[in-house]
Amino acid sequence: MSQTVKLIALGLVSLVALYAGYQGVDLAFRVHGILIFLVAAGMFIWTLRQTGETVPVVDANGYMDGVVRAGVIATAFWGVVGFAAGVFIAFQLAFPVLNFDWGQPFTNFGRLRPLHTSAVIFAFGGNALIMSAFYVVQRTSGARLFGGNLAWFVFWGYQLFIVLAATGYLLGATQSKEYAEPEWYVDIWLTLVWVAFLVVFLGTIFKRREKHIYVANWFFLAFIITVAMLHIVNNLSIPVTIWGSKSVQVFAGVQDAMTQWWYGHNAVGFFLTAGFLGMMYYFVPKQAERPVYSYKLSIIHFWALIFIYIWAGPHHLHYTALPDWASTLGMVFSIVLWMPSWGGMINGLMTLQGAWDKLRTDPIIRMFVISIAFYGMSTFEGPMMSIRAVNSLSHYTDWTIGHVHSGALGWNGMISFGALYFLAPRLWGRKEMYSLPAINWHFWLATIGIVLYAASMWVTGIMEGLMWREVDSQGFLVNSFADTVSAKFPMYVVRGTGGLLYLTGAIIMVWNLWMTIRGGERVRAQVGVPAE
Amino acid sequence: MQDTYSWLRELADSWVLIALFVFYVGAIFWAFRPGSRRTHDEIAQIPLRNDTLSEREAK
Repeated sequence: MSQTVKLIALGLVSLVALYAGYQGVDLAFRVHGILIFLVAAGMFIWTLRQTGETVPVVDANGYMDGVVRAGVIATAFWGVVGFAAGVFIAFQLAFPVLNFDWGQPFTNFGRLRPLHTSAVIFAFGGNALIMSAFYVVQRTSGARLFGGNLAWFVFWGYQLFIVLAATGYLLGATQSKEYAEPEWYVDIWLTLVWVAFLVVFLGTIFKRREKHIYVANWFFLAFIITVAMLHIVNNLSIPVTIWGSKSVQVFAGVQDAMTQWWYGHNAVGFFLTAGFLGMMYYFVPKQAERPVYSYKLSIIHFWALIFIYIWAGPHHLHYTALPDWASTLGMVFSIVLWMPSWGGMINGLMTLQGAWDKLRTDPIIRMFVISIAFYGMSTFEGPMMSIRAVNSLSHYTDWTIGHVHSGALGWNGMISFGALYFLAPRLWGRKEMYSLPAINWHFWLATIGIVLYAASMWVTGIMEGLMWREVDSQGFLVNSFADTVSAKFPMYVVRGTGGLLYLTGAIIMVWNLWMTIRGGERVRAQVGVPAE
Repeated sequence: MQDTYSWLRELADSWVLIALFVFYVGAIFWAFRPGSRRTHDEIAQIPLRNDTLSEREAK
């Protein structure tokens, strides 16, 4: 019966999508129609062929790890794609010829840049979060994932969202909201997937066999619920036609700007911070084999972060049409935020108390520790940059880009790599990663890459900020915009090189994961690393 | 339209502000309530068990 309903639904979706592919008023919409038609028709045929076959009995006694394994592969894959896109657009800025005249408009920086940001934040980071949320909630609840195959719907639905978003950017479909570029129908699809994610996660918590809900799950839950709220409000728009990708925002002017940065900064706060803190509160104690330093501090960390982060958004709109009280509010809350952030950092680092020796011998712990260190560094830099006076120098410069990347590459990237190295051997039943020296190589390449990136962006950002405001004795601006562009060239090359090192590290990781999963020859023992 | 704004603005910087603040301070005090140490120590051990589902059932 359910088989019949499924076939009817897939058949209808295929027909509508095919019609959309034929009738769509713009290129992106037509391509997406055909893409969805192919996926739905493929599933239709697959379901039809399964009909009448005996369904293999799923062992529902253990944890549901298949979807986490898929998540490991997806995270590593999208990571490399996103980093490669980033390296390419970094060199496009240094060498504009890389925009390729023959590839216009698809290969220009403007279209590739959202592809890079979405690939690293939503594809790499999002898959890392979904995979860890599914892994951690089962272990800390002592229960199998709720909802059976719904978890697989979340996984594949999310991959479809990524593909629709990425192809949309290349083909010119964007609603021009930073980190929320996908158009209306992609937003609706993500909402469905996200609700399914919430159902799986909450269902598992409801059927837990532990009395308490471990703090990591609080962070994951805050991440899922808040992102749902942010996503829906910021994407309120009315399509011009349902057979086209273009839509019009419901909010306009400064209200729209405020909504966008309320979304944008809380995407940082709840996607890139709360969610990844959920990872920290599970993986760090687990890898250090000791409980978190202070559970009380973790509770305060949680509530302080939740209550404060949501107000910080207006600091993106200093010196704009936004009323002063609102941007002051954002600035004050950003500075207050420093304390819970550092409380969390201390809690993560001090979990290693009594196990600091592991830092010498265990490259995975080292990955986690540097990640938490970068969390501390970027949550210090962020509040500082939100101060109006500092922001008047840093805003619109590459300092902002440097800040974002020390957080994203350092905190989010490193903790995700650590989680992948933690999960792969456990999920595929191996004793440990295929090569520990390769993890060390990854660690150093990534760290040096971030240092080159952040340092060059500090220099170039402050330089261009100063150049823009420089006036002569008559009060005229000294530099034209093009002067700053040519002055920035060396730093752009250094930044691209840093990105290249980071990408190389990630490729080494993919090789290492591949060899671990394939079950090749094992390394004999934990390789001791001499103290540096 | 103007009225909706004024009304919401007034509500936000009075009762809602108080309610949120009380909840926040209450949550922190709740974390420090007497007898919470034992509970928290217990919860902090959760990640260190349950590596497999059967391991738990064997107990």
